[in-house]
Amino acid sequence: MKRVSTFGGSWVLLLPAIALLVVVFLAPLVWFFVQSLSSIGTFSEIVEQFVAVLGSKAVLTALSSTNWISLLVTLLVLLLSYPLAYFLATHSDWRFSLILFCIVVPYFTSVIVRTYSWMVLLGRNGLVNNLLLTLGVINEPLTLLYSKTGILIGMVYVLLPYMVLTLYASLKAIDPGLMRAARGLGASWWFAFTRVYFPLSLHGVVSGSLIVFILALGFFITPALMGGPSDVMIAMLVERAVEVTFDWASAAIMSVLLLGATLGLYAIYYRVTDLRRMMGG
Amino acid sequence: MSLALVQADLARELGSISLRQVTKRYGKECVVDAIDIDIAAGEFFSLLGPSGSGKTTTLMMLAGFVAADTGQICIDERDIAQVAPQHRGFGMVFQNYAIFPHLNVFDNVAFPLRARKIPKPELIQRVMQALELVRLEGFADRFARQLSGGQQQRVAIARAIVFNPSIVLMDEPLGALDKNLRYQMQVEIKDIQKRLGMTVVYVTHDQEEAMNMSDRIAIMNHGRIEQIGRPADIYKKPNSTFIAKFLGEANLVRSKITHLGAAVASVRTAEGLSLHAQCDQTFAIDTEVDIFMRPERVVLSPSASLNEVHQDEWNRCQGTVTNLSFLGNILRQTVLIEPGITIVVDTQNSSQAFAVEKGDLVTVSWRVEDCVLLRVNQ
Repeated sequence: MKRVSTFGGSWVLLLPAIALLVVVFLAPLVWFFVQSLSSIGTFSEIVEQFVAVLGSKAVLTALSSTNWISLLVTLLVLLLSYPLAYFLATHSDWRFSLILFCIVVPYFTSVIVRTYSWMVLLGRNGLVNNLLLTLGVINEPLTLLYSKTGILIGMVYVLLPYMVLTLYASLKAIDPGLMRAARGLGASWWFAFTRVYFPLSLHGVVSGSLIVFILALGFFITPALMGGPSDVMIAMLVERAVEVTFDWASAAIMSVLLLGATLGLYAIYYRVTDLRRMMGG
Repeated sequence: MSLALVQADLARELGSISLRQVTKRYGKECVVDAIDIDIAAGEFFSLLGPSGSGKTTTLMMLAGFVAADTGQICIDERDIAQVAPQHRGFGMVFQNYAIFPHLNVFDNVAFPLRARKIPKPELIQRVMQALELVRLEGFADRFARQLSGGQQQRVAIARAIVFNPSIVLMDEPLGALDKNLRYQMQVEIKDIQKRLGMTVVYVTHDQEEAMNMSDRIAIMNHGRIEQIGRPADIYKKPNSTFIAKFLGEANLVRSKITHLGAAVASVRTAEGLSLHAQCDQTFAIDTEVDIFMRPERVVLSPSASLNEVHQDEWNRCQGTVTNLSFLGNILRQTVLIEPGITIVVDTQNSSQAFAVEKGDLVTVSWRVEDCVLLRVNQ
């Protein structure tokens, strides 16, 4: 008897948070889906519409774009973040504080502000092009903005802190004595890194990559501002359907797809982190 | 000399080590102060000292993880200061084992061989041999978290010797184990060392461990080497009161020199008690000294029995028993001789001829040849 009441007690403490999530997040979402999809008509008509929307050229192009850009962004973020996180994990002096500051502070600024500042830097008359022209490295301004390059730069910049901090936590947990032992036993730095350090950091790498990829999938501000007319990501299409063409049915269908993909990836993330924890990695 | 040549040569070496005037400073603090050590090939050599004495730093400089500020470090007469740690060819065992958690026992032990690109058939054979040597043959598939502390330490040892190094460095490897297991591991390590003929440099703060395993010990304190010698020699004839107290229970009787002979000196305590002791170092008359002897060398007898033959060879005084401690195999008796001077007497439980009570008047006696004069500790 006592056990049941104790369990019931802690459950009650969760109710306010659950209520908030339900009211602010779950209910509107469900209402949106139900309203939009039911407006199409019968179930078979809904299925038809699904196929039509998801099969349309625009959506397929956007999906492919989204996947490739997100993958590329994740890879670039990983390559840039690993050395940064390694530096943070192996130093604790003023340099640590400086680097951490540079990474975290922009994180507190809004995404729009950060993206706009990149536009100032990367435009045809922007600072980067002016510098390169003055130095004589190029003769014509580079098209950094309104292109895939622009999107990549913008997204990598915004998503970097997520990866760095996730990796840092994982790297910090690696016993520094292990690398030293590996070197002492005759391994070159590269051998020790690939056989000892990197495998032990894999948990952080996978977690960080999944987080960044999931976030990248849903990006629409940065691609909208910094991409070219042909660089369309799926979230941008959803936004357009809701605000421009008022085609809520299509918006709902694309959102279901995006949500499904995200939940699927999150399930993988959850499983992976769980597995790793079980293996003591 | 090219790196490849050095590497090849290091593989054929015999394993003698010498440190010449090696110094390390951290800021103003001199952590290792101009030490000189010569270790012969195949010797089991311990660096013994309290925390902060510089012994681990010395080992780290030998390993190459810490650069010496001045001095030379030579292996088989060759200066290795420029050689990176991974090319020095030492086996290493660390205090916290440093077993790779993501690899099983086999892969852990195979690691140094893989790093040296040893071909697979030979690799498997060598790993199995090493595992047999540490009696872990059936554990090849296990991971670190499935092993006990003692087993993990044995994996670390197997990993350190699998590539046949001529020199193995060990940094307090048994510190985390309980007393019985530690003793057992000491015997095993010593056995492996003798079988493989390796030179071992062993860092520890445990004097029993050092004395049990070593051919010679270097006692370090505040970055300096206080004494180097065989365990029995240092134990019986320490150079200073610090060493005397560090290696075991020590009796120190404060007195002044009254007469200096060829090998024996006469001293007088504050209360006028006349004693004699071995005198190795150079002293002057009237110098304040401590007479040092081990508690197990002192004999306790009832105050009545004074008829001992060869009285010249014995020091004898009377006192009161102030404390009795039962330590298992030893009965430790503290006897107050005169104000400020107590003598500790250790008697094996099997050999106590008569019963002693607190407050009893007793006679303590010890041979002149069993005690030495030591300078008073600053």
